[in-house]
Amino acid sequence: MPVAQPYVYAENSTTVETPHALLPFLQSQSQSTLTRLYQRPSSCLSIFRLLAPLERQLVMNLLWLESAIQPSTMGAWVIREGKKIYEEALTNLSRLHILPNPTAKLALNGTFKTSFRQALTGGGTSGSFGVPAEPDDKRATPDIEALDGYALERWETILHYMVSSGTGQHPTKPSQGVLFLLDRSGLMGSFHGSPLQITSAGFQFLLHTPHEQLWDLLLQYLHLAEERQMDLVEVLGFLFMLSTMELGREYSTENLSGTQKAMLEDLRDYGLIWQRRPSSRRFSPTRLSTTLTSSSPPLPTSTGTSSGPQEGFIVLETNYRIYAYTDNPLQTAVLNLFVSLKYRFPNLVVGSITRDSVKKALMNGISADQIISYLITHAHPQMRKNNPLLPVTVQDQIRLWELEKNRLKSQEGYLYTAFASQADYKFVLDYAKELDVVLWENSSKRCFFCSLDGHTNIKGFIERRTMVANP
Amino acid sequence: MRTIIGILLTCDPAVKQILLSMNEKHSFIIEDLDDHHLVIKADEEYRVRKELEAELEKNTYSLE
Amino acid sequence: MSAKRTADESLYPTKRLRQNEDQEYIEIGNEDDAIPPSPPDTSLVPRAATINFSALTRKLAEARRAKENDPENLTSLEAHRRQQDSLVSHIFMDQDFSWLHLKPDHASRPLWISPEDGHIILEAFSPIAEQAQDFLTAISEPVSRPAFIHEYKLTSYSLYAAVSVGLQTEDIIEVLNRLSKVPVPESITSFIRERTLSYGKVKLVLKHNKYFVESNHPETLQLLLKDRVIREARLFSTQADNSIKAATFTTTKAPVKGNLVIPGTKEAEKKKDDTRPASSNAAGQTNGTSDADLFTSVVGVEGDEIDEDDENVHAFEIHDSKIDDVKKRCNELEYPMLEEYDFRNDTVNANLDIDLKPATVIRPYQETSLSKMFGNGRARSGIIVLPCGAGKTLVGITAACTIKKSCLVLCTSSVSVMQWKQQFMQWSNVTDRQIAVFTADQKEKFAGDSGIVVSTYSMVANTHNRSHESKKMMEFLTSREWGFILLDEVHVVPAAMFRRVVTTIKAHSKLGLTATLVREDDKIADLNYMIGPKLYEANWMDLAAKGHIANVQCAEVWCPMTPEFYREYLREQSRKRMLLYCMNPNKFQACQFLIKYHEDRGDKVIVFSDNVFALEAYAKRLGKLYIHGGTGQTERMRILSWFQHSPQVNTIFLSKVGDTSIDLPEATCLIQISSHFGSRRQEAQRLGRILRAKRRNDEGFNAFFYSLVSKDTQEMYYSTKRQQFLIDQGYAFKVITHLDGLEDLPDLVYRTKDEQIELISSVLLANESEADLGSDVRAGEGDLAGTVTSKDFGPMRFPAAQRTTGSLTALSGAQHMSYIEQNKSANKKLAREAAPRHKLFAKRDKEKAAARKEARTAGHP
Repeated sequence: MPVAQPYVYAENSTTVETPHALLPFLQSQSQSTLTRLYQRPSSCLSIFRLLAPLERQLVMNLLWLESAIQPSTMGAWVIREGKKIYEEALTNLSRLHILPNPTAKLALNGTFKTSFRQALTGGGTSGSFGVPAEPDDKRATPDIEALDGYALERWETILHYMVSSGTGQHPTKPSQGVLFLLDRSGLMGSFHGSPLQITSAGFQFLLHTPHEQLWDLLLQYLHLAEERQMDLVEVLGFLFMLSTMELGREYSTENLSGTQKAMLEDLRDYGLIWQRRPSSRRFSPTRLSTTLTSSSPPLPTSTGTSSGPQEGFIVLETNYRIYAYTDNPLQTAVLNLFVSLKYRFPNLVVGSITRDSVKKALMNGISADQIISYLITHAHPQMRKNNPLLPVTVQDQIRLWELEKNRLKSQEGYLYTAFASQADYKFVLDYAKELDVVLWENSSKRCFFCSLDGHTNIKGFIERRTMVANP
Repeated sequence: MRTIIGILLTCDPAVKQILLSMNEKHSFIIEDLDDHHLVIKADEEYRVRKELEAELEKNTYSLE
Repeated sequence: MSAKRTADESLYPTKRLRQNEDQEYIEIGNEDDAIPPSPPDTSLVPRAATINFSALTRKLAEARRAKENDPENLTSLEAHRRQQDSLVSHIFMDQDFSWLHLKPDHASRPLWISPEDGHIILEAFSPIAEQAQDFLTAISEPVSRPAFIHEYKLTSYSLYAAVSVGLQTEDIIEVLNRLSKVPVPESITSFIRERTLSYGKVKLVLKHNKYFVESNHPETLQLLLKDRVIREARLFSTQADNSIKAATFTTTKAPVKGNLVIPGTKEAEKKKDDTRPASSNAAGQTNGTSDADLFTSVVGVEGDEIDEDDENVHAFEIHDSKIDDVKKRCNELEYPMLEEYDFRNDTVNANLDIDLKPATVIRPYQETSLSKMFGNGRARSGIIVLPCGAGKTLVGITAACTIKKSCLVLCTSSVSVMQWKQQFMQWSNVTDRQIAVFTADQKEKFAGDSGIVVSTYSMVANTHNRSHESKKMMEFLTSREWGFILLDEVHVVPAAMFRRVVTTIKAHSKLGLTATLVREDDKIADLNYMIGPKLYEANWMDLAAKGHIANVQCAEVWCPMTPEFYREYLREQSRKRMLLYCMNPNKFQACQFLIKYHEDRGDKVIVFSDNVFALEAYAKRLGKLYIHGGTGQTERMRILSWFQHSPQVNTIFLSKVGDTSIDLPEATCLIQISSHFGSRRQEAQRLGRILRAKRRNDEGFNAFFYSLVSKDTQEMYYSTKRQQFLIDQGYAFKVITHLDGLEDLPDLVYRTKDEQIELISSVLLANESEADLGSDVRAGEGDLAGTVTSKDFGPMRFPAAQRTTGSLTALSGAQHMSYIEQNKSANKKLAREAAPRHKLFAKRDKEKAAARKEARTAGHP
């Protein structure tokens, strides 16, 4: 076939991994906040785990050095092709204040170094990794299966509430705290006092991986914490502590700070921790917590039957048919966002990608790329035989449907026309251009179109000119 | 000099031809700028979009 | 190995269940007494029966679930799942079958069955998928067969076909159940029972030039005779019978299967090699048996002899002229008649001593299709569906060589007649004296008592204006009994014509061949009772993967309409719209570019246009040869021969006449510029033109199939619709919105606005009738309409009346006539040139081309 281009609009996904969603948030924090955070060994370990591989490499190189080294010494290791990513890595670390001044000399932030060493070698009495609760003779520790079930239920309740909003269905409502968070984060919204409705950001959120979703929500939580003037170091420190805890173990609430104790309720609502009673003095982290900074899946891969989110359950065929190996209602509801579903068997859902189903998704604010990346992320192992993974024709078609939607662009504004002279035209146009409000121009026709906002300014400008010209 | 309030439409040449033919039945175009641009009456946008969509829909085949 | 064996045993029936046969018959008898024969049910699953049933099952399941729902027994996660479950259930409406119970070992079973509509979903990647596919193609209609998951559907017709190849009701249910991840729903088992128990009980048999309705069950015959149509068709014979039970019927022994061997198959090979040491043979044997034979036993190749043994067969005679009515009536009564021919025990008709040549070996799928036909040692009538280029002809010839009786072959055109004769001579040892053709030009009879006649449908079905010779020939054809009638391209033959053929020619068995049976087609119903059920349907992707047909890259090229053309398109409400989107300058350019691109890489290109106006305009402007209905016979042959042999002629334009019956294995690239609306069949037929590409077995070889489509026009709608059949076969159409390098093509046509405006003037001047499709094609004396050699074509029409519209003057003052004059026909140039060149030169040209090609392929691995 000739070198023919389908309309591939989006850049092919680059190999560069996007940094973890939490890192930009951390980078935006003040040096003093970060240094306080770095006093906790568990936080240092967790942040280390979130770093890109090269950044981790750099930290490890410097960790056990007692004195700084020259940038040129380290630079000598770097080949020309790697220079760019090396420098990016240095910048990222410096923004995190892990590597305070990388251009002058290379040395780790002293606090970070001390704590991280402690995290690796043990020792210290800060209890930053949590304090296990004394064994309780009366009650058995909850087993992992029960914790998984609990976490799944809480988490799916949130997602299902989102996906069902506006469909006339009435799923279980999550707690007020969760609803507030969903509203504040813009994932759901209420218009003129109507019940909460999912927004286009919310639809996009649903197509993310559980790990991404979890951090999306926790980031919103962190922003909220800032507004509520909670101590961010306490909040972050607690999340990091949870991420280093052991699944299936009970921990004591005794050593938690006031802020952290206040967080317990929220974390219960999200399914991150389990407590027998709100007043209980012990808590168990669920898998959602313990995998916060690891690459393991945050939700159990299997609960009894084939249920629950698992890697690779979707088969997409060249005839636009979708076969999804799932009995999970949430996954089904998410698929229903962009697939026209037809049959449902105990462990299989069958549907088709149609123009209408994709159009519906696009109207909801989901993009073609999001649909495609969802399908790639969850492609069935059988699909791995394909190269590329998804049928190109179907991918192209989904993108073409998206382009169809954008065939008509409209902008409100004013058409300026019938100028007396080319000089007048140019004079006004130049001013409008300075304001950057010109949407279209044609000098031979002597007219241009400016945006609504620009009009007032231009009008004022012309009036002033006219007054000067004819006082 | 004259200013006219309106909506600037940016589109491909085919869509423009459809708009022109719609305009013959029910006028809404203020100014035909070039192959890709038109200015239309501000209050007509919704109707124009609906009608255009219906026109384009005629050429698509749906399995269902 | 042993582990595998046990797994297999748990999956397949090792013994066939037959215990309560009597009981079932009694049940059926009662039912038939109570319920009068129902009118034909066109919906595939009797709605009332299935819906009620599955609704009930669902209710039960829900009740059970409600009981389990007792909150005491549930963890909060389970309760939560239940609640969520009910929230998504509404999406599926009555197609939510999540209440079905998965079998514990469902993972090793490959399919699901929908209780509502008989839809079957098969994991094609399952280790036992291949056997499951064999089974499913036997009992159901393939719906889609792409890479990983296939869909099938149980229908009345498919079950009729299953029964006619010898499958038994309980075996169908049993195997289905073994393959299914969920127990076969009650609604489906009762559907299968209901449909199949009456099937296969009645046969239509031709004996001594008389037709008999035959059955093992006299009560069935009695039931049929209660029907007025059948009763009136009955012919009372003088033969007396002393059996009390079947007082009015003739009774004979049922035929028994012997050791029939289909020539050209492995079994035939084995027979020849019987001298080999037994040990190695036996070892190979046991290996082979494990999986396959178990299936064969159900799929019925070794079939139904057991239970027919020693049974008496009862029959009554019917009028020749009423066969068609009786067959139709029997179908309506849900007792479709099977037609089987026990040719080995036919001592009345002379044998025809033909066989495949020793070197002729048939391919596995051809063997499979034939085994469906000859499964019980007799010849079953029916239809075999193979994609174009997959060797349908050889299947027909092998069948004729198996039956070894007089054979009549009917095809669509006189060109096909010659091709069939030539193929018979090539693959079999038939002698010239044994094979005759009957066309408008030639009226031959074979010598001796038996032989083969090849003719066309029109020759045989035509009733008026017969020449004396033709009349005599028809007498020859109608006066004798034929062992076998081969019907080529059955999908294009009108029902009325079929009826005439079937009623005038007396044949013991019929085989229909076709590449495309589009399911939604009404034709299926006609073909089903006039020829028989579909015996086999091949999987296109599978054949392509195994190299039997070419791999094809399909693409849809979107050509935006130029503003001027689109403006006219929007104004025009008449059929001329079509002319405007065919003649779109951007499409013209895309066509030019693709021809150039593919010629340069050594492809032979066919451009198809249903619209004759566009065909001529394109071919002339691009300087290519073309064939349409107005092209004379000698010119056609010359053009085809140039295309096949000359390295200078690498592209030809064909109108609808090229859709079928024209065999050009040189072609490797196909471009469609205009086609017949949304015809899925035409799309498949056209793709078929490149499936037999000679070069298909070259490593990495791909054939190319392009549809050029004008964007934002009706053509987009039709194009998507046309592709559906092929997409369900697993083909993928890539959308191309931009051809790289098109702008840089030297001498690109219609580059300037002026040229484009000239073009549009010529289109606007054309008559509305020029927009018609296939206007060049009429039926001829001997040929069906739409074949390459159809003779009686209408005269070519050129724009006679000039029409000047307001819009035209608005465009420019272009001189519209200059356009046609500039474009001299390449055909005329060719005619002036001395036809085939001296052999020496031709050879040298060929070598040059080969060298060029080699150099190119070396450059592009």
